[in-house]
Formats: sequence, structure tokens, C-alpha cells
Amino acid sequence: MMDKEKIKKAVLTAESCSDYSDDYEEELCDDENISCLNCRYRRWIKGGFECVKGKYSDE
Amino acid sequence: MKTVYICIDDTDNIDSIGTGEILENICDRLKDEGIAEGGFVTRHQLLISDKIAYTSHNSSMCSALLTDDTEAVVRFAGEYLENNSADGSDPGLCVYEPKGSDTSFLTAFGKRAQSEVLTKDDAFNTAKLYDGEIFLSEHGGDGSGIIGALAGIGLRLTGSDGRIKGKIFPEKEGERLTCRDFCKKYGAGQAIDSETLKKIPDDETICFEAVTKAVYRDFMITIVAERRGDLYVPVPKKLKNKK
Ligand code: SF4
Repeated sequence: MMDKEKIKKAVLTAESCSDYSDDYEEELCDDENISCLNCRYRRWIKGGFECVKGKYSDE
Repeated sequence: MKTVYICIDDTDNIDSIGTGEILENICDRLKDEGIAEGGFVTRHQLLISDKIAYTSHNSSMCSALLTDDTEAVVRFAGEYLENNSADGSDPGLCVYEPKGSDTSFLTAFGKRAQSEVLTKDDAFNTAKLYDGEIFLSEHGGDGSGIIGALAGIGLRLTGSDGRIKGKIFPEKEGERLTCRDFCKKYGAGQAIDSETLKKIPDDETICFEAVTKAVYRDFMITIVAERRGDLYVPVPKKLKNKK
């Protein structure tokens, strides 16, 4: 589970991220906002997520 | 015709279509080939853990099919996965034809997959208990998708797990219907109160304001609606858009 602060940060980060891209519809977690939680580049880890965009940045 | 369940997992990569869409495509093709007719797709969330490296979703997708030929379903779906799963994925397929066995080992496996890291051996050992009923197969990569595929069948069989793939749009925003007519019109089995989680009576009024998503509960497509005065309003799923 993620705490409220992390969820808020995920929204702020995604709002200003030019790489944000919607994940599949069925995998969107935040119903209200653009958020890293809904981005196809987030990878779940225990207690949160990591952004793997860097891994794909040459594409 | 008998009901069989099909579940797949780990078929996608970052650039591909999602596992839910692959399952819908399989169901469409099974229908085109005259092998089986598919129903709605449920998504079942499995464990998020740092022991499962770089989990993108760790969810599996399940549907019920009507068919006379389970073996043809297994063969067709397996070939489809081999030809259409994304590079680098580890697809697994599980088809279950219920023949009256106790399903508790299957449902227990599904629940364990939501709280523990399980192995392919765990999956095969559970599948062995359902000889002639469970068809579990790997279709590329390390085949670890069989764990989620078997777990997804188990979770579907609990009758109350996961969400229905896709969204439900109001024909007209603000449309008012009795709960009975609303469910009939939008293909739901029931609507429940978002607070109490109790079934909303047939003659209550539903005001359908905005796109919503359904969950799988009591073996039915279930709409969750919140009480607003003397109406119920399906919980909206907002649509985002960012370039
Ligand atoms: S997950 Fe990464 S790429 Fe996606 S919005 Fe967040 S920071 Fe940007």
C-alpha cells in the first residue's frame, strides 16, 4: 500500500513528465488524476513503484 | 454446451497490447472458428512484491466460455498465445472444465497468489489435483505465466474478486432508471451500495451520470453506486487525457 504523500507525489510527477503514457485501461489505478500510478513505465515494487522510462529511453 | 474457464497471464511487454485485449482476441477468434463463445473478462490482481522482478501489472485475465470441445479451446488458445504474445513475455494458459470436483484447492491457490510468491511447481502440483479438468500450459519465455493463469481461475471461482474489463458509458448522461431496468440495459447482474456493499433494491432509482467500471461480485457483473439523497449514482471513472 502507498501512503497519501506518495500518491500525491505520483500525481505531481506525472503532471510535469513529458514521457507519461497511459497504461492499459484495465491497469489504471488512479481514477481521478494523471499519475505515475497510471503510466505504462511504472513498475510495482513492494510499498510503491519505480519508473523504468530510463531503461527504454533509446527507443 | 458446457461452461469452461480460460485464463492467461504474462503475455505483454511495454510496447504490446495488454493481456486483457489478447484474451478478448482469443475469445473473438474462438467464436469465429465455431469452437466456443466467450463472455466478459475479469481482471484479478495478484501479489505486488519486489521478489517478482519489475512487476508491471501482475494481474491475470479470465473469461468463461460455452463450448462442446474443451480440447479444441486448449489447442487454439495455446497456438494463439505462441503466435501473438509479446517478445520477452512468459505466457501461461489455464483452461478449466469443471466436472464436479471440490474447487477449494483452486480457490485457495488463487488467494495464496495474492499474498505469497508462488512457483511453477506450486502451480503444477495444484493442477495435478484436477486431472482431466485443468489444462495448464506454458507458451514461451520461462512459462511463469502459468502461476497467474491458474491463480486467476481460482480467483474467478471465488465469485467475488477483481474488476470487469472495460468501461460502461451512459447512453445519455443523467439518465434515470430503476435499478432493475438499469441492470438489464447495461448488462449487470446487480448494483450494490458503495458504503454498505449491500444489493440495491430493484425499485430504487439509479441516475447514470458518467462512465463507470464494474466489479465481479456474487458471481455477477456488479455496479457500485453511491447514495445521493434518494438516488443512487454509479461511481464515476474519470477519463484522463494527456499528450
Ligand atoms: S512513471 Fe516515469 S515516465 Fe511515467 S509519468 Fe512517472 S516519471 Fe514519467
